[in-house]
Amino acid sequence: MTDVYRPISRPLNVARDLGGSDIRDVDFSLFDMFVAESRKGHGLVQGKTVTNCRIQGPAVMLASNGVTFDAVNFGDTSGDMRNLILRADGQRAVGAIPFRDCAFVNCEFYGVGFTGPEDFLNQLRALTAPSAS
Amino acid sequence: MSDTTQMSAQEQAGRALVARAHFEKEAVWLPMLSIQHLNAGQTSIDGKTFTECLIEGPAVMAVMNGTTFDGCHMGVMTSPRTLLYKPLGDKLAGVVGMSNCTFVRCRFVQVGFTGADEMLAEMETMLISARGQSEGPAA
Repeated sequence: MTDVYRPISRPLNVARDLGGSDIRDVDFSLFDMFVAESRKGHGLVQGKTVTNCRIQGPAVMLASNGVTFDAVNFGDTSGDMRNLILRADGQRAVGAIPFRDCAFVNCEFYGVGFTGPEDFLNQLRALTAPSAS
Repeated sequence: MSDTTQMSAQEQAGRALVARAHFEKEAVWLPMLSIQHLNAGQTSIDGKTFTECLIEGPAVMAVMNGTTFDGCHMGVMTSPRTLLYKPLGDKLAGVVGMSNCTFVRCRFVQVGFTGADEMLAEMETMLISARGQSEGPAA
């Protein structure tokens, strides 16, 4: 596992296949990953390890059970992590892209908002810098 | 007008989409519409009218100044709050900003909504009212 976020400096490498469980060294939009899972009949993205990827929005990620972030750059916070967080008002989170049991390792997010359980939001809010481990 | 002579056919199609002010009786994939606007240098979608359209996500729409909904079906919900998000900060990330847009008799699928506190309160009232109308009077 990576402890310290290392900025991704490789050239753009657009992902051609997001169907696998090990996604590495590619760039993709979050909704394309959701569409790839939807085509397989899945209503959420589950069981993927995403490493060294640039991940683009606009999208709001619903980080459900078992989603971990290890040394990632969550994106432009404008100095306040709260700018990346949306709290779902109800029991569900319509419009967000649901993830479960996924690991993000040394990834960079662009134009992505985050929602999820209150403890996850609190952890995110507690981060003081755009990168975290 | 931007010069489109050096653009690929795909880029030109994107610019044509951005230039449109009216959408009627068609499906609109909100993430793609947003991406095309971002590619054209526009951070929000402004001044468009959608009539009897299917507006598809997954996306969270930031309802900004001048955007209205008239006779729309906002999505499946057990509680109107299910569709609403409260931003914790002053800025918004990951959302599709829409200002001065008019939605008439549109149907929203997998779209959530966010915005200022007043807008969220207004929207909740509207959703409760719309649900009451669709359920009809109690027997």
